[in-house]
Amino acid sequence: MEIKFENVGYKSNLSYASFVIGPSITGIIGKNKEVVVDMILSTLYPMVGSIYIGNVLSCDENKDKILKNVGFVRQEISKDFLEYSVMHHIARTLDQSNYMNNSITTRMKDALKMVGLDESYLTRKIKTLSSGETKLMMMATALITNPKILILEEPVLNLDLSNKKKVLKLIRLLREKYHKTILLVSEDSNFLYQYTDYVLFTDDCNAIKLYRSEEAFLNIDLLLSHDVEIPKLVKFTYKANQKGAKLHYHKDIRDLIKDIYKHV
Amino acid sequence: MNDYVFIANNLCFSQNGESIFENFNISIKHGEIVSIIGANKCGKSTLIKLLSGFYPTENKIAVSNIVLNEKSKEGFYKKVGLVCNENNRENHALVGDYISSDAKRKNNNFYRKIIEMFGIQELLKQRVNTLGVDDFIRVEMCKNLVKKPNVLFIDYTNIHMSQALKKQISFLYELLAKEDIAIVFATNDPTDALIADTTYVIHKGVIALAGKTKDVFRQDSLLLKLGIELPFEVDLSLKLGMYGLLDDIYYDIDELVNKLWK
Repeated sequence: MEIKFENVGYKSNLSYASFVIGPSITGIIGKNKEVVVDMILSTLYPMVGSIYIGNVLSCDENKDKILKNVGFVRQEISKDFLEYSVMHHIARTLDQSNYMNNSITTRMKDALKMVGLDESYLTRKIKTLSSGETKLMMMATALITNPKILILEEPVLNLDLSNKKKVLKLIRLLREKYHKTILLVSEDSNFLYQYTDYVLFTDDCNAIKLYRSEEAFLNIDLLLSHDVEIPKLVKFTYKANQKGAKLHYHKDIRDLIKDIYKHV
Repeated sequence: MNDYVFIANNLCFSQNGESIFENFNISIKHGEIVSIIGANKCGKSTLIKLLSGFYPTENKIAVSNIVLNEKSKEGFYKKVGLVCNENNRENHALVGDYISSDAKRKNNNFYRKIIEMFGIQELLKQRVNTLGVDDFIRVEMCKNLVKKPNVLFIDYTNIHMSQALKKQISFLYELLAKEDIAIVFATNDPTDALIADTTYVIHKGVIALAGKTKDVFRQDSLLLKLGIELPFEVDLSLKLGMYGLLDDIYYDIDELVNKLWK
């Protein structure tokens, strides 16, 4: 499902942005990333221009229709929900999006299964879950309506290695097997460089544009002009090449090591 | 106590009938910067609270020669600061009052030093509940520092500092060390540990590794088994070291490049 921005403007910050996000993993980084997310969720409307989610114009009338296809996973679970059981939390979220289905428990179990959690999690209180389990549970909650678009806010922040791998594996599965459009909203340029196909820079100074990640994150001038931190793998390679090293740019440190070994 | 400003001996702690820490020992020197890292749910937040005297304990915890017990509690808490959550964000007080007029009165020079260090002069007349997250964390740290504690405990895992604020604050730790304020912080991001003199790695309630941060990071295979991701510069240094291309761990990318291509 596509997200289309047509000449979208919002206050003086975002000037006339036009781009199309298709099924892919697209990163969003920069000061106004929350504004862009709110516009896709139809909680905010642009002052100028139009937004189409799956060819449906974003407006009050279409809000419910659009939200059936957009899942949103926040960075942290609200403190208010800590005492809830997983089942209660998911059921509550479903009520809010007016989703009607008789076999809800089956769908809950399926959603949990998809993220690698077994049905015993349904009766557990959220406060007893580890950060990794909470993240995965939140993803299951968003996936239960089978949205075609999934927005994840800082999906691996504060996760240890094994939990990070689980979340990344799930993101890849959703993209490759289920062909979802996935948006990763993050401050971390290292993370977005390694795991996205496309990226949106949403800083104050420039019009929002969609770039291929492989081009954008290797373009030092572009990153600096958008106030985006240069990914460490890129910074190292760039500086080494300035010294005459002739290295290629890599996304994996092991490939970089092999390359360095040849060139030192 | 000599060199040590803080000592905890044979610390034992259980919660809900489950033993979380057993015979845990930690000693902190004056002005030391200490990081506590470990996989998710290994007990870092519990440890920070425990060490700062937040939980009642029969164990021996001492700061500046004051052993924590019912009688000495007040004196102990004066020497220890704790920033472990954002629960006070809803507070209605003016920032200036929230931080404490008592400390201002008692030690005006130091009070002003801290306010300036954290750049919160303009926030003093605002109300705490109007502050954004980063500003609130700055204010919370000032509140704990103006009483001039000997140790400040911080739980990064429960507060939401932006990367920018984290960077700013890590420079301030060096200045605070000069004022004889040791810093102990728990974090889920091993990259944060690079600024610490000493690092403790927690695993299932025990100290799996402890020592000078660089030495701890040299144990890369053990760290991976413990579920800890190596910071990029450390990973690169160690791997290149295995190929005989580097002789040490370098924290700075420029330094790394200069060592490899002279």
